[in-house]
Amino acid sequence: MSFEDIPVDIGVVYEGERVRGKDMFVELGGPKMEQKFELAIARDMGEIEDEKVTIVGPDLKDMDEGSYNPLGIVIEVAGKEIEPDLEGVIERRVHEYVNFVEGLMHLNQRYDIWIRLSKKSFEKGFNSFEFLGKVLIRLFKSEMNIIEKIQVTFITDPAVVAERYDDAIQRYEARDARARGLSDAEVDTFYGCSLCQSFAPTHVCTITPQRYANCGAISWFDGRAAARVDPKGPLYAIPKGDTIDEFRGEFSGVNQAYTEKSLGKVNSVALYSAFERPHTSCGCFEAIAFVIPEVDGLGVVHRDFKGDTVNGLPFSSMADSTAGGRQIPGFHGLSIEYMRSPKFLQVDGGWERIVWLPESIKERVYEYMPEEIRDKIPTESEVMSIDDLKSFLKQKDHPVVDRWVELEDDMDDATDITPATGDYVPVPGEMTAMIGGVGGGLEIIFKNAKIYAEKVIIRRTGKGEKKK
Amino acid sequence: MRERLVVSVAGKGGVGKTTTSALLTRAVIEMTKRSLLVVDADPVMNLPRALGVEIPSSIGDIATRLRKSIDEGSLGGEVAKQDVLEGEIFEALVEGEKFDFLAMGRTEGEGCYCYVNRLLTQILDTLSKNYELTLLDMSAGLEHLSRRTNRNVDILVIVMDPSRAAFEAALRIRDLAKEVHINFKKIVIIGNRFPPDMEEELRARLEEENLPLFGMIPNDDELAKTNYLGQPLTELTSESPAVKAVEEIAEKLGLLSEATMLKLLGTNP
Repeated sequence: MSFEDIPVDIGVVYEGERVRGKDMFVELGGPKMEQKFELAIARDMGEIEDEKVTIVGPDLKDMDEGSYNPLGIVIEVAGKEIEPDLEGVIERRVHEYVNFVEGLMHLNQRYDIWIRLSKKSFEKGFNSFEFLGKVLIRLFKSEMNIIEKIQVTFITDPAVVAERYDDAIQRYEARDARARGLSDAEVDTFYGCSLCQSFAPTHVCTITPQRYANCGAISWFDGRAAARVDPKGPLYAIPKGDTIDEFRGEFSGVNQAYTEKSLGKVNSVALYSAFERPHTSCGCFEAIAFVIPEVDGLGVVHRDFKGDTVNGLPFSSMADSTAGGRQIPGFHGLSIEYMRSPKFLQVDGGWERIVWLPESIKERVYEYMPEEIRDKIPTESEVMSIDDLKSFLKQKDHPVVDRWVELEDDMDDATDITPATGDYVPVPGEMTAMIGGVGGGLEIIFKNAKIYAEKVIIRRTGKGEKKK
Repeated sequence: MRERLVVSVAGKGGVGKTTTSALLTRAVIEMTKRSLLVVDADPVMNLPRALGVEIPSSIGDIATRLRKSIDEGSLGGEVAKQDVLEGEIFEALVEGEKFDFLAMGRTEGEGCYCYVNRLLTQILDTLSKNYELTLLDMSAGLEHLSRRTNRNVDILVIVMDPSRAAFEAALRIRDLAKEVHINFKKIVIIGNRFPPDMEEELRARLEEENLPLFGMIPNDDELAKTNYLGQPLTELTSESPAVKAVEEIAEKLGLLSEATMLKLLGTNP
């Protein structure tokens, strides 16, 4: 690929170059212009005149030094594999490629674009959009093989920018709606984040279209953008691999990433469960889903919630049990955005398993809750004790109540342990109990335990293993 | 390749970090044509007034806003946050005739800022590469060191006033910088408002700690008045003793001449 006919240098080195106000020849788009946009559109092969550059309105050389101008950039592409779903990815490359040009600065995207051309580059002869069009066409064709035909239009005539603006906005909105509906099954790459590994060395955040990062800050699209810019950075691509179990969210690529990044501590994860081999929790999670054994349901509490929750414990106490990059059944760090996902804890029953949450979370996710459950999940203003919770759920006929019947049926299969008498004694520090003989042994760790039980029931969980 | 230098001004609260930063800025813009980015990294944000700069919004405001729109789920589905932030930060940049200015401010709320902070660091690193000189006025706390927000700093200037606490703070800053592996090419001390006859005593004491005293800013009536009236320190006359002292310090630090790195490293060209 040659840029010999372009009067300025083209290259990655110019990425990050900023054109300061006093060094600029013109500004295109930017905060001073109300209407500006850049748009990629997938077309049919017949609709495109390959490598054509069109300029509608004044060209760079017709503009006044130091002036601010409206701008619309339209990139039309065609090819056998080009589909509308790729428009966003193609459009984002405009940012990258424009920044490759010496003396051109490109910021933002869509209806926010902000471009500056330096006096220096203008004086070197970069005085027409024709040059920019050529650069874009060559870079697009060489870097994205699927583009077979491409044409580029620059619009600087304010009337035409205004005319095309609404159409552009509608296209962005349609694309966003599609993005929101993007499912984990539709992509072949997830993203991993190890920004929190300094707090939790065995934690790997798996970011999928339908499972936002635990901190609530990083979407799958953020992951994609970051991994592209800095593939060796803390945000990296995880090839999804084989789908082991779609409902549970088990993927061979995710398991492999866990094994590598946690150095073998965590080897298997079901992305959509809080109980069985759950996703690990860092220390930064926005909220916790915590088991309330008395009702066999999950409560949710977020970081900003002050005071005790329905089980008498505040966020901070439960955060200690949840954090650290371990897989702790029933204590699960998650983001509020994940609660808006159709995959939200689907293995455990999803919303039908949620029995308590703070008012402020409820407000934020209300429209994403299934309609029939909305009024059956109490908040702190309705219920603040386990006893009240039980009667509330029963009275509202919360789906979790059905599970209780199953439990009670199992009671005859249980061993009763008589209650201990006397006051309970807080046990500071950590206490580990090993129980052998139950399916290969399990480890129970008590941290700063204060346990008071009127009754402890140990139940056989496997069927058909009864001793004769 | 064009040479780039990042200078960070630190020290205990109230020792005169902002005054020092403002006077260093004045020296650079009055005596050189170097492109300069001044960053107020102190959440108290005194530097804008000391330099006579109006700030539209701080980086903290932008980060808080971003965090809020994350909480509300109101961001465009397909748009990546790093791209949004990059533009907003450039918008918060005050582009002046002689220098550009950015205020860090502070973030609010309790959400996790790991990711947002990382984006900020990347964006600011990129921005600062566009200037020959970046001058950071740090906060009194040591958080910025442990958060490594100034990891690419070449010269760390620690300001001290005549107090035991300022001396101890200087040592702590130096030790912490070592602990978190920030490789400053040089750490220097500037004494502010010391009685003139204390200079030798101070120099000797600092030498025991392997810290070079790079200059003294004297008490200055004109400076005090300008400060009190809330007028920009860049308007001080070149007769002001403090201005003169800081110009000398700036020269010694290599901010006023080319080939600073060679000087810093002590190698002969």
